[in-house]
Amino acid sequence: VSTAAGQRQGKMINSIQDGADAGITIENDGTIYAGTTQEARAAIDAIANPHIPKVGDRFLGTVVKTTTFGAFVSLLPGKDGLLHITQIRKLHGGKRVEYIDDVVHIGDKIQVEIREVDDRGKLSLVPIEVVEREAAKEDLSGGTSEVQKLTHGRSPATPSADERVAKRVSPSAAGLLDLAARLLPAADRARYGEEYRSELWDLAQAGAGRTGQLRHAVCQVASAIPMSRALRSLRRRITAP
Amino acid sequence: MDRERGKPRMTIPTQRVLRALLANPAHDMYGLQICAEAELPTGTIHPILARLENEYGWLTSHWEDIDPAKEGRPRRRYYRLTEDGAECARIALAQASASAASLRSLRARPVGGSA
Repeated sequence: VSTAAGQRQGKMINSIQDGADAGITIENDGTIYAGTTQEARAAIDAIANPHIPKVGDRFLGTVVKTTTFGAFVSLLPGKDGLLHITQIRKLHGGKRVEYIDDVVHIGDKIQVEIREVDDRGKLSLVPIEVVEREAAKEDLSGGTSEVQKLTHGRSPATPSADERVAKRVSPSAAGLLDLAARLLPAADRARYGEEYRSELWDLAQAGAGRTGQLRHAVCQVASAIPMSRALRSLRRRITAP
Repeated sequence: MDRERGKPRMTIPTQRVLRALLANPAHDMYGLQICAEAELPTGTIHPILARLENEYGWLTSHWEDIDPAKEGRPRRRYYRLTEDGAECARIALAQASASAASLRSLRARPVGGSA
C-alpha cells in the first residue's frame, strides 16, 4: 500500500470509527471489530454496498476544507463535494464573499443537495436552503424555457429564475465566439457577434457545461473561413451585378 | 466550381438544414434549434444559413422582438424559409434524393452493364 493510499485509508477508517457510537475498531490488517449497535451494521454496510450519490440526493455534510473558490463538504466517508463560492454567497444574502473563511469554517455542518455529478464523479453541491428558496420563487414565476428541449436530456430539472442567472456562460467560450465574429467581414461582425453570444447563452441555460460551451465555440471559429466566404460572395454580387 | 447561380450545391449538410427548416415551415427557428433538428454541429449551419439567406434568398432572418433587459436573456436571431425558398428547397431536395437513388442503382448493377 502506497503512503498516499494508506493515508486515504486512514482517513476513511477514522471517519468510520468516529461515527458516534459505532463501536467499530478497524485494525491495519483489515480485521474489523464491531459492536452490535445499528450504527456498526450501517457503517459496514455502507462500505460493502457503497451508496453512489446522485443528483438530487440530500445530505447533512461537514465542511472539511476551504479554498478560494469554495468549500469542500464531506457527505459520506470518502465522498466529498464542492460547495462553490457562488452558492455560499447565496446563503449570505447574495453579498460578495471576499474570504471563504469569513463565513464558513472547517467542521461546520451544512445541509446540501447534489446539483451535478460530472463525468469524473465530482459532485457540485447547493445548500438546501438555496434550493428551497429557488423552488419557492419558481412556483411564483412558473413557466419553463424552450431551450431545454435542445439539451438531449442533459438538463435534469427546470431551472428556476435564480438558477438561470447562476448558469454561467463560459468567458473563454464567449471570447472564442468574439474571435469567430471578428474573423467575418466588417459589415457582418455586429450581427453575428450578437447571434453567437445569444446562442451561447441559450446553450449554457440548456445545461451545457464549460467543455460543451468551448466545443461549440471552437466549432464556430473553425467555420469562420467558410462563413466569411459565404458572406463575401453576396457582397461581390451586390457590388458587381 | 460548377455552381450555377440560383441553386446551392446540395451537400448533405445543406440538405439536412433544408429538411429541418421544411419540417415546420410555419415556425421560425433559431440557430441552435436548427442544429438540433438537423443533427449538425453549430459551426456547420451558419455558413449554410448565410449562403441560403444572402446568396440565394431562400431564407429570411430577423431579430426576436423582445426586450432583453426585461426577459433577462439576449434576443435570438430567427430564420424562416421564404415562400419561394420553400418551393425551391422542396424541388432541390427531391432532385438530390433522385440523383442519389440513381447513383445507388448504378452501383447495384453488375460490372460491365451499360449505364
